[in-house]
Amino acid sequence: MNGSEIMLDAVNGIAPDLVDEAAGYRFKRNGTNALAWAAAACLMLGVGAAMAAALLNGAETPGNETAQGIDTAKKTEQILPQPTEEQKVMYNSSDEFISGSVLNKGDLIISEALRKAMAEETDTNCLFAVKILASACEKSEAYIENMNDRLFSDPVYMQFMREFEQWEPTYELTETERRLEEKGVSRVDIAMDRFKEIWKSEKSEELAARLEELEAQMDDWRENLTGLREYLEVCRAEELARLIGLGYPIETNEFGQWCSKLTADQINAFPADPGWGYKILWASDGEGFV
Amino acid sequence: MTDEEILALFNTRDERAILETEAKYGALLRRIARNVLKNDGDAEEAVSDALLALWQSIPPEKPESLRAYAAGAVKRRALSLCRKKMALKRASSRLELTDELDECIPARADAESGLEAAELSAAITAWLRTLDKEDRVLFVRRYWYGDPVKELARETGSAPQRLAKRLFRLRSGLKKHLEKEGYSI
Repeated sequence: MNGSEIMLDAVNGIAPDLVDEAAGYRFKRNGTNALAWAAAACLMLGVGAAMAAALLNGAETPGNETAQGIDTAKKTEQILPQPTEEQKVMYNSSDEFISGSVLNKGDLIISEALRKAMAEETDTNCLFAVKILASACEKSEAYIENMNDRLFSDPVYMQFMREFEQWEPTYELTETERRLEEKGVSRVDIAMDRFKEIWKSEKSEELAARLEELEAQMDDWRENLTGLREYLEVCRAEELARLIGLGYPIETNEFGQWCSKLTADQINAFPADPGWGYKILWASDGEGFV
Repeated sequence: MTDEEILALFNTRDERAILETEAKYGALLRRIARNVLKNDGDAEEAVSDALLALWQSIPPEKPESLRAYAAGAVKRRALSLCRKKMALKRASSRLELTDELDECIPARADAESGLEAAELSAAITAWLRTLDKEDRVLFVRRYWYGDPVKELARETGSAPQRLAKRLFRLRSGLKKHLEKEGYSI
């Protein structure tokens, strides 16, 4: 057996408890990065900014509420009308899931289960314990586009891309690179890495340094969406304050989700901002609704 | 049915043990076999052989984890089948994994200090125990289970390129560890 065969056999002989551990393990999905990659993919293609924005802000992210927002909600809660003792409150820990709830600008979705319960309830004063997903679609789109323009429209980057587009079709992958491609790395990514090396070695130090600087900024943007999350937190705090101001007693639970007890009339007349997307569905105790 | 209950069936020579093992772990065993053999028919053969091997070995064997024991049995059977077939045509999955693991082979410091696979297994196990759980599972899923990079990328929520880099760093780490510990192949 050669060295690599020995290595493979050696890996096959690792302790059984490690094999067992791996079989039953569920990875913690890298949510931020997954969203960032989804957004970056949309941005790089120059399409789907709305989708990226919805992805970034549509699904609730635990803890993405600002202290300011929470404070506003808590303070306002004290002056908002609270349910009277006679008022019936309906809870329903139904199996509704928020995952996959990608909201688009202008959406105001009331979940089927909630809609059905509202239709069946004859007491018009009855309160429904709900959670509200809200996505600042228009604002996040604008932010992403602005960032996109700033980074990808830089003259140095545009020069690099023009030259890359001419060079890429002529490039033949090496054997090692072909293996990488077979493992799922895209040809464009592989070729771009190669071209960057060539480009930096051929251009002036100043241009090479500028490209490196831009790359670092782009990586940071893709990885961390620098600034976007903070910006959206401010938007959400403002929107929360607006809704509370309109008489919607919304609280923020420990997961940063918006929860409320609303009548069917309030739900049906929800004062949506046209630049946002919303989904109203049952809140469940498991998500911290009290 | 719990593992204990299934093991009790094996111990009392009740043939339902095989059916229950297949019902509980069949999907996992087929995945492992397919990852090695890249062929459904061969994978089925490996799973059947592995279940038979379990029947023949329990008792006297008393596995602590039926899942790990069954997984090990099917992996060995799949590799054995793969080796036979490689005489005619090298299986691409095994080739791919050995290519990647080439990078972990420590530099030959002493031509006479070759290692047995079992000794190397112990060294790799020790190294894996030093990693955080996510990295350890990732390494085992890729190089023990043979799961594709794309699948692992999907499960971890990473881009495939990023995951490939993470695996590269792990392989480099293993190589450094083996060299530091004075191993050579």
